[in-house]
Amino acid sequence: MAPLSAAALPSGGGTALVAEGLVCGYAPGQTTIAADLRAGDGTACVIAGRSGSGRTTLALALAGFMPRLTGGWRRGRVALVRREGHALEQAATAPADWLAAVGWSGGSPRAGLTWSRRTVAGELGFGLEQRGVAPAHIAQRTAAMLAAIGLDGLADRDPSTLSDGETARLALGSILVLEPEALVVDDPEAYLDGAGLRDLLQLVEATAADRAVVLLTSRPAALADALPRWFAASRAHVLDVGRVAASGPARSLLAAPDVACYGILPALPASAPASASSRLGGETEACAAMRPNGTADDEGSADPIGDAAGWHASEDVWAALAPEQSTCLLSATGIAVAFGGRPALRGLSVWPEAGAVTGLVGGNGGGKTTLLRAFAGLVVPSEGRVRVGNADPARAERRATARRVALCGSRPEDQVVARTVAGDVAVGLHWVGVPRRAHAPLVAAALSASGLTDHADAHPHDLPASGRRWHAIAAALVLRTPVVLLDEPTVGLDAIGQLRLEAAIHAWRRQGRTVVVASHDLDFVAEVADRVVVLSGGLVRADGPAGDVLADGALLADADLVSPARLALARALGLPLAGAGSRAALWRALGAGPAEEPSPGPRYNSLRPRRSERGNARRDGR
Amino acid sequence: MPLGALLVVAVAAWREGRAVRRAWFRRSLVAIAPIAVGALLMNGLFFPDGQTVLARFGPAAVSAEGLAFAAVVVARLALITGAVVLVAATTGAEELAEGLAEAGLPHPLPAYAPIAGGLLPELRRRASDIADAQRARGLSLRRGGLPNPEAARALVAPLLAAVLDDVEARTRALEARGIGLEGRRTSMVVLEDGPGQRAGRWLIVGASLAALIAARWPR
Repeated sequence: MAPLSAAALPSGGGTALVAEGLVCGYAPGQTTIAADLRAGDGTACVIAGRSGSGRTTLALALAGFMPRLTGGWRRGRVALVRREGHALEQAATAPADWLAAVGWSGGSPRAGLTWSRRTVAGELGFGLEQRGVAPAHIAQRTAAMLAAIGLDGLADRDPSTLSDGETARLALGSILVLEPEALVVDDPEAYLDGAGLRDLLQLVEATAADRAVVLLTSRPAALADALPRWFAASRAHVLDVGRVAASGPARSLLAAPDVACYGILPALPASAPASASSRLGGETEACAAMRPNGTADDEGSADPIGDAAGWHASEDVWAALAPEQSTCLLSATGIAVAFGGRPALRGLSVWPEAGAVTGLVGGNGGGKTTLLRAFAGLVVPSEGRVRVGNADPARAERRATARRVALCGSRPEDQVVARTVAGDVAVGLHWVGVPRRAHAPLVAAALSASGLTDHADAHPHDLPASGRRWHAIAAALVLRTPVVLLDEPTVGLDAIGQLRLEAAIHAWRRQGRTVVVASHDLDFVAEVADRVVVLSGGLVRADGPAGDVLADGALLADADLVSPARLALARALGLPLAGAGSRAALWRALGAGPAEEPSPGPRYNSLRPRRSERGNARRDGR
Repeated sequence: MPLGALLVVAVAAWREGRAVRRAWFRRSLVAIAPIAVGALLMNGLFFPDGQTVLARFGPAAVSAEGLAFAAVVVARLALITGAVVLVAATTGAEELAEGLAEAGLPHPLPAYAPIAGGLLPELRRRASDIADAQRARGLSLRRGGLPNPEAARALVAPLLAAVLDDVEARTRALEARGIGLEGRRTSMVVLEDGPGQRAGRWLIVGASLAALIAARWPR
């Protein structure tokens, strides 16, 4: 990418955020990110990168936190160039003044709150108080923002009682209400449902003409689904191993199937199939630009998932992890759960099909997580009953329940007790009473299935986000339970991690496991679920075959969900909307996918050059 | 004297309504009961200068002087505990921060008061989440009706990591909101500090001084 001229005025908006020769890392001599970027042409600057690509480090550097709070080192220039030509240099500006001009939002939702106020409205107004805004204006602006982010009914709620999705809305809204000149948002799609993401992006879009906007994402497809028109008009960069590997219009760059070679699922266009097909077919130049270039290195990426030999484990590995018990029935009948007087589940009944995959979908706060916790015996319903086999999971002995039901929560770091990945995976075996001599082969199989074999001796906290998620899945797999519950499993997963998980879930189904997946990622649910249950307000709004439920746009909208573009395309082309291989079938129909039907699990190897091929390409000068 | 002051505190708690009254009574009782029992046993049975022996149990003797001394100690502790619990139950952390700022504490120290106040509930919530995550992997928090010692390590290690992460995350969030900005600040927190409250505070200061002087006055 050509160096930027900081003297150049913003072309389309009021302010431009520029990074020139920005290079930074955590260890001496080791570069985590190197980038030249410019945002502020009236649209968003979308930076897409898989887990471990340096995406979050770049966001922290733009906000001025790196290396001041994170440690490490940096070189290069970051500046805010205003319309009149005056440049605010990050290096010469006090951190507080820089952050007053450049708003930053990132990390987990709870990490985005100050927790300095006991109400949602107070948290939202805290930043305005620091700026000396008059109380009357604070009240006006917070009320308007609460309505804009869909929390107007929760103004007086304690922020600690919000769901993760509601907290994510509040965290980003708390920055938006400050009206910064530039905005850096890392992974906005991670915890938000479709409607939440759409609402927040609309807010960002409404002021993008006067503001530089940088959106960093591992899932550009989610952004494209939420706000397709704005996304299509945005400029995009793809990060690979800490460098900008390709740049171009988002509509072509991130919709090109070859973007998968950088561990990113391509965003499918929401337009008519014929035009979509021609658009994708006509992007040969952009696709060529996506090929690995000299910036990629032979050492591979920092992501353990990407370094693994294959996309999915062999049948031998799955055989070693086969459940000890046969298929197990799971049911919740008329259960009601309340927290602090607020109902989370209101007498709902769900009977996941044994040996099949059930998707729980719904907006933030719909009751998905609570239902999974009830199945795992971690909450006791005030009404109704839960059964796993013939037992009540909350009243059975803990180790007995853990040998029937494995739950992967939404926060993998909560379970880390050992200093190594392998040691931590083995801890669960010890707790459920598996003899120590049987640990090693089971742990080895679980790590192999999770792509973590090469990182068995690493500290779990040192893994990138996708690796941490897979570490938690390995810890569940090793228990060989007939029931697997996954709570928002795609949060933190990059495309490679997601494809591996999809392959794993198909393998679990073949083994007769009962799988329940709670997710706001409908693209993922469409790929893995046989049946979909829509939850809203603690009640079941719909329950049926995945293809039927996900095809009902009005129903999804009513549950604060946004139908992924791929479903509309698949419907228009007469392809299956859901089920294993439905995404690959769509890519194939658009002339852009893998050459053959993935079997037994998706085979996407052809989309991502192996490390040896990448080395060859570099040596050949390609 | 301590009993009289405790009565004043109790009346103040009574005026705050049923919820505060009950919380005040319960929390004060939980805090003071073990200390009170200990003080009564130690001073009642082993008071060194006890002349009026009421009962004797081998080497231990219950004396009237010991019981009187224990009663004074318990009354003083009850007064301190009751006052602290009442302040905690009726003073919001935000109001405390605002009051500290108005009293002249330099920024950003007052802003950390509500954050510090919220740390304990947040830790409790995280500990609960961590316990659930470990229970899902088969950890029993109790074994044979007693706390499982193995559970302590399984809960403490992730909790410590969470605290460290939390500190960094809160620092970033506070900086992103502008806590380090120079200049005038405003607040949506309204302090209810009328003439009655101000007069009450001066009255307490005056009464305390009078009590001190009375206690030191030669008889």
